[in-house]
Amino acid sequence: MFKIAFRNVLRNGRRSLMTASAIAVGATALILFGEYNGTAVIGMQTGMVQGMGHLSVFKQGYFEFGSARPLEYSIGGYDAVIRLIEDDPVLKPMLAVVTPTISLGGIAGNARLDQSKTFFGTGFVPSDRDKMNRWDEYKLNPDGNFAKSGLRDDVIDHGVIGKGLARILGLCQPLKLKDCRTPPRPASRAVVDEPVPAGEKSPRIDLLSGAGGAPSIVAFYVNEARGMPAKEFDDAYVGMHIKLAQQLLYGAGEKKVSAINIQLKRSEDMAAARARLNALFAGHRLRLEVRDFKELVPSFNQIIGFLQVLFGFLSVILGIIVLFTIANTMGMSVMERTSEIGTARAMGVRRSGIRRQFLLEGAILGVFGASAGVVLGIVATWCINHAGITYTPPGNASPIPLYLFTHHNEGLMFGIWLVLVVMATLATIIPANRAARMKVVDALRHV
Amino acid sequence: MMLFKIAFRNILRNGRRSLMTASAIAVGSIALILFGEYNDFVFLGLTMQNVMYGGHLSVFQKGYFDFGSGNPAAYSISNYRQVMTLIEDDPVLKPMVHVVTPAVSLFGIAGNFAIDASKTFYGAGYVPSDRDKMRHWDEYGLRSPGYVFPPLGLTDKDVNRGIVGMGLARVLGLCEALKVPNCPPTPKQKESVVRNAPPASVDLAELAARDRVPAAETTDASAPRLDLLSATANGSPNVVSFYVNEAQSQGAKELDDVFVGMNLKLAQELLYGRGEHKAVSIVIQLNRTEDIEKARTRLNALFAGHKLPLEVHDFKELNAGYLQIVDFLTVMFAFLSVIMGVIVVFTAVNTMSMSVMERTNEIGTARAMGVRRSGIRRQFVIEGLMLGMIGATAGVILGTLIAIWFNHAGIMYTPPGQARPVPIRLLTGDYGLLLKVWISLVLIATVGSLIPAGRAAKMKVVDALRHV
Amino acid sequence: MRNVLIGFAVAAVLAAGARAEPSGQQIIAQVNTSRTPGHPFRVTDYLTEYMNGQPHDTMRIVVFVKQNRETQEYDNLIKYLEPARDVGKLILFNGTNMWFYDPSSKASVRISPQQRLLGQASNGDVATVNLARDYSAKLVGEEKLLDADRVNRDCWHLDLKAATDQAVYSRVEYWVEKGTYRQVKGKFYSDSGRLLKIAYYHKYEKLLGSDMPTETIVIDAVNQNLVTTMAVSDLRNQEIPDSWFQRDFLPRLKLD
Repeated sequence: MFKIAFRNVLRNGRRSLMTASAIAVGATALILFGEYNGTAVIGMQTGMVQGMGHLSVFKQGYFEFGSARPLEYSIGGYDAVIRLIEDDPVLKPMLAVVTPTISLGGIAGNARLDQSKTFFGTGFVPSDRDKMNRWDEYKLNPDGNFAKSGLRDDVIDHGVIGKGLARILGLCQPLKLKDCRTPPRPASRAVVDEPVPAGEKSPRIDLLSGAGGAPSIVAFYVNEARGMPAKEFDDAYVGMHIKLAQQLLYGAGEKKVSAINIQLKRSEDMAAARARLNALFAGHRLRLEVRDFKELVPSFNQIIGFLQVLFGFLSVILGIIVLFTIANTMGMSVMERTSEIGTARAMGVRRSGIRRQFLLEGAILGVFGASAGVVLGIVATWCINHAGITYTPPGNASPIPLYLFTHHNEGLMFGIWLVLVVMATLATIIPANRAARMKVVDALRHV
Repeated sequence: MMLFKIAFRNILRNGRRSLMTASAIAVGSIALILFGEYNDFVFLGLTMQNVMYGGHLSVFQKGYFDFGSGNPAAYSISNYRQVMTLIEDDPVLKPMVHVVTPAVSLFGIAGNFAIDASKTFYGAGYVPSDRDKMRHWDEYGLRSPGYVFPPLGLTDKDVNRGIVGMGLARVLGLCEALKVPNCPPTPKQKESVVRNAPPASVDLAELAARDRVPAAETTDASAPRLDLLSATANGSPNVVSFYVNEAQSQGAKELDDVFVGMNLKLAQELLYGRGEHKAVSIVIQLNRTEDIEKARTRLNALFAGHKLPLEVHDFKELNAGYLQIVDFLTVMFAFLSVIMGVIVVFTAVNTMSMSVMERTNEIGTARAMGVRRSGIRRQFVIEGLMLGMIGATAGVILGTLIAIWFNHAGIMYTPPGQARPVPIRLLTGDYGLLLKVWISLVLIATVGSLIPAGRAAKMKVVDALRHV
Repeated sequence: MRNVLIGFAVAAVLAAGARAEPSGQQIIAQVNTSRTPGHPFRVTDYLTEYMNGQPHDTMRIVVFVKQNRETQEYDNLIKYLEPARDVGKLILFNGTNMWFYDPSSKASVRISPQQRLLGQASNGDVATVNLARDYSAKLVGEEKLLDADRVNRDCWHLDLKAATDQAVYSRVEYWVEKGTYRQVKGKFYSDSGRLLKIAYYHKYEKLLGSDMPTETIVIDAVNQNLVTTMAVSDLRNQEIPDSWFQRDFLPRLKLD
C-alpha cells in the first residue's frame, strides 16, 4: 500500500512538490516563531537570573509584610546561613553564586547645593554581582559583553546612582550627563557658598538612613549615573557596597541583610534546590522562606502568557493556510485522477481502499513537507543567528543581538512536525472521501 | 477590452482551477487580515489602556518632570481652575478635547493603628466623575458593546471614601474586611522593650483615655478606616481619615503594594492643608489620538502667551513601560509579518504556477494558432490580476466576517502590565489594513502568474503541445 | 522615635501676680515670655517613648535655643547625648528648614518636611517655636480641668489659630491656669481639623527664676498606642554665637 502511494506521489511530481513545500514553509514559520518565543522567554529569564539569581532567601513573612517594615524582616546571623547553604552536599554542586543583599531607603543629599531627595537602593557584594552578571546558561551572549556592577570589593564608599537622582541632586555637570538640567536652588539661609573643587572625579553625596533611633550619614562617591527603565526607579536608585549599607543601617550593632540571593548553574535545578533549602531551614529551625524569581517579578508570567496567546493565534492562522493548501491540492489531484480512480475501482479496489490510498498520499506529503520544513527551519535559524541583527527587549537599556535559541528545541520541532503530518492527513479526508464515493461509470467516462 | 473578456471567459472555463487559485488568494488575505487586526488590537489596546486611565497629555508645573519626583507640593500648579478654563475655552483645543481634569499625586504614611500597622503609600487624587468619563473613551472601537464597567470605587460626593491596592490592603490587615483573596495571617508584633527605664510618673493609660475618641465615632460599619498622614508644603504634619470602599488590583506589584485612590479634594486637603489648594497635574484626554501633537503645540503656545510656567508631556513620556512594550512588540510583529508574508506569497505563487503549468497544453495550442509569446504572457497576467481581485475581495469579506464571529466568542487575555483580562477584539474597522492587504494580494497574484506564464510561453510549441 | 514633637520644648519664666481678666493674646504672650526668655539658653531633655504602655525607646538630648534677630523665629541646635550609638549627632532647625548632622562622616543632609515624615529622620525633633508670633489667640472661657497629677485646676481655655505660614499647627487649644499662667494642657490640630497630639504639662519648678514644667507628656492622637514623656533638666542661660546655627559650621562645632 505504501509503495503504491509513494509512487503516486512521485508521479504527480510537480503538484506534490508544491504541496509539500507549502507544508514545509508552514513548518519553518512555526519553528522560527517557536524559537523566537523561547528566546524572548529565555532572554527575560537570563536578565532576571543575572540580576537577582534563581532563588532568594528571606526572613519568614518578608514577602507579605516586608514592604511595610523591611528592617523587621532582616536576616541576622546571615554568614552562618550562607555557609550552611554553601557547605550542604546536596546544594553544593548546583550553586553558582550565594550572596547577601540589603534593600534600604533614606535621604540622599548634595551638600554643595543643599539639595536632598529620598532614595531607595541596594547594597551588594560587587564581585558576586559581577559574577552573577556573567551567568549565561543558554549562551545568549557568546561575545561576553556582560554588564558590570560599577563597584569594587575594596572600595566601600563608591557606587552608582540613577540618572534621575543625579539630575535632581544637581550632579549633571560633575557626572558629565547629557540632556540634563540643573535644579533651582532651595531658599535657605544657613548655607555658605563653597567653590566646587576642580577635577573631582567622583562627586560626593551624603546618604542618610538608619534602622531605628537617630539616623546616620555616610559619604558616598558616585562613580557613574545609570539610566533605569522605570522613572520612579531612575529618580531614586542608589547601588552601593553592602558594607556601606550595613554601616549606614546598623553602625556598630549587629549587621543583618534583607535577602540571600542564590544563583544556580542550571535553571532546571531550581525546584530541587528550593526543596532542599526548605528542608535545611526546617531542620535547623531557621525561620526563613524561599522565593523564586518568577514570584518576585510577577510580570514574567504575564509576558509568557501573552506570548503563548500570540503563538496560539499564529499557529491557528498558519494551520488554516496549510490545511487549505493541502485540501486544495489533494482535491485537484483527485479531480485529475478521476479516470484512474474509476479504473482502480473497476478493477475491484473497494471504496475504503481508494480512501486509504489518498489518505496515505496525504500523510506522505505531510511527512515530506514537515521534514523539509524542519530542515529548512534549522538552516534558517543558523542564518538568522549569524546575520547579526540586534533588538532591545523590554527591561533592557540597550539592544542585544537577535539570537534564536535552539537549546532543547527537539520537543518543539517534533511537535510541529507531528502536528503538520496529522493536519496534512486530516486535510486529505474530504477529497479522499469524494474520490471514494465516485460512481465508477462516471469516473471511467471522465476526461 | 477584448483581452479582459477573454481572460474572464478563460477563468470561467477553468472553473476548478480558478476556484482553487482564487481561494488560495482569499485564504492568504484572510490570514493577513486576521493577523493584522490582532496586531492592531494589541497595540491599540495598549494605547487605549493608557489613555483610558491617564489621558493623552498632562500639564505640569515647569520642572516637575525633572525635579518634582517626591516633592509634589513644590511643583504644583497654582490657580489650576483658571488654567483648565483657559484650555477648555480655547477655540483650537475645544473640538479636540474630550476631558480636562485636575489630579494630585502624593506620598505619605497610611496607618491602621488599631492593629499597629503602617506603610508608606502613594496616593492618586482625582475627580471620580471625570475619570469615569475618561474610561468610556473608545476611539478604536475595541470595547464590546455590552461591556459593563467595574465600579470606580469612588464618588464625587463621598470625599473621604476611596480604594486601595490589594497588596496595601493585605499589609494593613484589611484583607478580611475588603474580601481580598490570599489573606496572610497577621503577624504578631513584638515591640522591643527598654529595661531599666525610670517608671512613668503618672498613669499614662488613664491620661490618654481621657481624650480617647470612642471607636464608634470613628468607624463606619460599612468601610474599614485608615489614617493617611503626610506633611504639607510648609512643614505641618497633616492627617485625614480615609474609608476604604474596596481593594482593587493595580497590575504591577510595586504599585499594588502602595496604591491609594482618593478623591481630589481629600488629596488636596492632605497635601496643601491650609495653604492654597493646587493641582499637581491637569490631565487632558482628546477625542482622537492623532491630535496629540497639534494639541501639544497649541497648549505650549497658549501657556507661553499667558506667561504660565507650565510644561506638557504625553502619556508615552510618562509611561516608560509603554514604549518598552511597544518596541518589543513591534520587533516581534515585524518578524511575524515577514514570516506570514512569505507564507502567503509562497502559497499564492505556488497555486498560481500550478494552475498555469496545467494549462501548458492549452498554451501550446494557442501558440500554435499564432498567439505571440507576449500575448500569452499578457493574457495570463490579466487572468492573474482578475483572479487576484476576486480572491482578495472574497478574502476581505470573509476575513471581516470571521473576525466579527471571533469577537463574539469573547476569548480573554491579559495584556502585559494590566490587572484584568480583556476580551480579544479584532479590529474590523481598520480600512487601511484591508486596502493594503487587498492591493498586496492582487499584486502577488499578478506577479505570481507572470513567472510560470513566462516559462510556459518560452516553451517550444511542440513540447507544449505534447505536455500532459 | 518617629514622632514630630515640634513646639514642646519649654523653658519657662513666669511673671508673678494676677491681673484683671486678660485677653487671649495677652495670656499667650505671657505664657510665651515665660517659656522663652529673651536670652539664649540651653536645656537638657530626656525623652521616653511608650508603646502600649511599655517603654520602647529612650534618648537624652541637649537643646540650644536662640531667637533669630531677622525672622523672630527660634533657631534650635539639638545634640544627642544618649543612647551611646547616637552621641554627637546634631539636628539644626531654624523654624522652617531642618538639617541632620553625623559626626562620624562630618556630613549634613537637609531634610524637607515630607522627608521628615517619611524618611529616617523623623525622630527627636524637639524645637522651640514662637507661640505669640505664629498664632492669634482667643479666650474661649474658663474651665475646671484635671491636670496630669489628677489635681483640679481653674483654667483659661484658649483657642489659637495659625497666624503665619510657619505655624506648624493649624489650630491649638490651650488650658492655662488662671493667675499662675501655668500651661496645664494643650491639644494640637492638623490643617484638616483632626486632633494630632495632646500635651500635659506638670512638675513645675522654679528654674532660671521662672515657673517651668519640668515634665511634658505628649499623647499621639492618631496612633493612640504612642505616648512620649519629656523630662527637662539643667536649664541654663548661655551665650550662643550665631555661627552655631549655620549648616556649614557644624563640623567645626565644639560643644561641651
